[in-house]
Amino acid sequence: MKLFDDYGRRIPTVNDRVFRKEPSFYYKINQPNFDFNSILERAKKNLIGVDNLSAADFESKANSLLKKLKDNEDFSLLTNGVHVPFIYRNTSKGVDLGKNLEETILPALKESFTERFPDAHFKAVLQSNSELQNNIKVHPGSRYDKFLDDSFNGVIGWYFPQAFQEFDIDSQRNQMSKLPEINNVKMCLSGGMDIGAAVVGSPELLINKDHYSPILCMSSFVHSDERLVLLLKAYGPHMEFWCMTQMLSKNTTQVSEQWAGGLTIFSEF
Amino acid sequence: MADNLQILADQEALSLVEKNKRKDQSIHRPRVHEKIQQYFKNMLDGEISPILRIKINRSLCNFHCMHCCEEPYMTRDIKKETGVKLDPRHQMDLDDYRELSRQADEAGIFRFVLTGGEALLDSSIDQLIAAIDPKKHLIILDTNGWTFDEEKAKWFAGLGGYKVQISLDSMIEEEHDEFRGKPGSYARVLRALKASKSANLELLISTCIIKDRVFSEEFEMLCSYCKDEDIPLYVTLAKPVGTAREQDTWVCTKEDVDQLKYLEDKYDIFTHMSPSYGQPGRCITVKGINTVNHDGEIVPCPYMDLSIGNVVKEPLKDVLSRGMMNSWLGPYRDECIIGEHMDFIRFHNQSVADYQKNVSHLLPVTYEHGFGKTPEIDNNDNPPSPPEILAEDRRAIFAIKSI
Repeated sequence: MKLFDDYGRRIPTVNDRVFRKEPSFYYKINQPNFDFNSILERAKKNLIGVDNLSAADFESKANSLLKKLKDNEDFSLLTNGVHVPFIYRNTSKGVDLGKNLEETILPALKESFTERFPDAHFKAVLQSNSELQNNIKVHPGSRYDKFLDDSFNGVIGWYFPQAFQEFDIDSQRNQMSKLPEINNVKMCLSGGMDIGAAVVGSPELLINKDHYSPILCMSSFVHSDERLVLLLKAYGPHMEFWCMTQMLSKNTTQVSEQWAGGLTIFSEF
Repeated sequence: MADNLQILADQEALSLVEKNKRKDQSIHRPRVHEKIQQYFKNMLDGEISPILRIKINRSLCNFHCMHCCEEPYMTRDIKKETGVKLDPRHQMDLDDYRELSRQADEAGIFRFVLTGGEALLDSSIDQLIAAIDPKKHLIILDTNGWTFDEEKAKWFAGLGGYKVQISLDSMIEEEHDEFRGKPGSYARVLRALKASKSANLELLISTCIIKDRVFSEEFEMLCSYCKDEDIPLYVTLAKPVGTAREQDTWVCTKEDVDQLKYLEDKYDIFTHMSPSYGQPGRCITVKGINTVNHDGEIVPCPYMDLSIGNVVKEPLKDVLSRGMMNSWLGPYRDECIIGEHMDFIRFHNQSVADYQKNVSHLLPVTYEHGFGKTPEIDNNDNPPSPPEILAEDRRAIFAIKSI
């Protein structure tokens, strides 16, 4: 049975709550160029890279990782979707996830984005005075713990931002228990660090003159107030991080055509 | 490394001036203030508090604007198209509006816009304002400014009116007058702006853009004028509905909308999709604004002709809940669907054409013939609940945090 469609989007299964079974892709991301040199430079500049890795090594390791996915019968179609290489090293061992987001990832996003788009802004907004510090944990079914473990040594990875487009947050979080593991490729539901690193490296990812982009859900990260979710979005020429409610009403959560959960593959370097 | 990144809590776009206005509400309109606080408290539960925009007096108007989305609701158009002298449907009366105000208050809604046509042509508008109750709701008036002189401004303020929204569609006098189909209207707008300030009313200029106007020198002039005069500029996108139904070339592109978002950082301008009240910029159908037609049909956007239910026949909260569960209207989306999304525009205009051909010429299209034919979203089996202990200080409003 196929796991992904020809556009690299997960084919919804029973109990998945999705906006629609066949996605419209009204909200699109253009496949960015793989400029490994710029990605590495941006990562180094913003303290999320590794000094002793060359762009050639980065490219070679990233391509090797992607090839493993392409060679896998279950997951090869995933690579038809948009995929973004990134590099990330977590220098904040023992630091709370929310604090790390506030002190490293969000400032890095701002720096990278406003350097690329000097006339635009980057904002971070926490709805209803919610807090990030001491309030973020990893979703137990997301396999993100392994990503965090490896990130202290540094990881190279690929972020697939539209793998779970139009899935509600709960259904995104349930995917890792439904997808098979691959022997030689580590994989997780995307969260704050990998998405942050991918967009730091490719700051133009969500910016497009012609069409609207999906909203990137950091669904591996669970807020202590589970009504809240962490999102990265374009606002016209600008980019914004939101910690905001996923509630559509008191008893119903969002199931939006625009919200997209992602899948991340990674390896230590 | 990056400059200090400000992480903004709650009211990310809330200026000091706006905060002071809110503070004033606690003194002048304590019930309004209470509802605003309640809205922020319940925002995380998905609570909505949309503006209710009431179309009054059969949308009678003294103008003939090129971009008017209201023309099909006016008696002059109904008569021309059908030969019927008056819309025969029940028209909401003062008792209906009183009941609507009560239900809105109960639902935590605190803003009513009175609009037409030209709302000031309604000779019983004072009774309507009293029925809605300016102590419980902010009453906002849409006007083309034609009759809004100093005396009228004071009269409106005296009735408890809160804000005036005056339409100005070009800083070039001839262009505005031509677009509005009314020579002399530009001069009257300037008079109305002055009168509103004298009466100490809250004020904004409303302007309609067609494709490419945001890139024009004239638009920059308008932005500068508003900045100099300290008047917020509210920008609406021309929609291919009403008299502009055939004007596909007017439809704004994402590039136009992006330029507006860029200008928001430079000037005090905003659209219905700008971030506000602690919410990100997004389409605000149902959740941000709803129009109440003369006959009680609720239309989830000022520019649509499709209803989500009738408030004279069923409770307001049921109508709004139905709207929120519609797949076009409830779920989060960034773009203005009636202004930009061609699939939606086609569905909308086709529904209107089919309805007028097969059912009735009288708009809006009722729920079963329009939105009722589009999918609803599924409910959750197990939605998240608030944490058991939610510290009161986390409920504070207006805090801004720098890191």
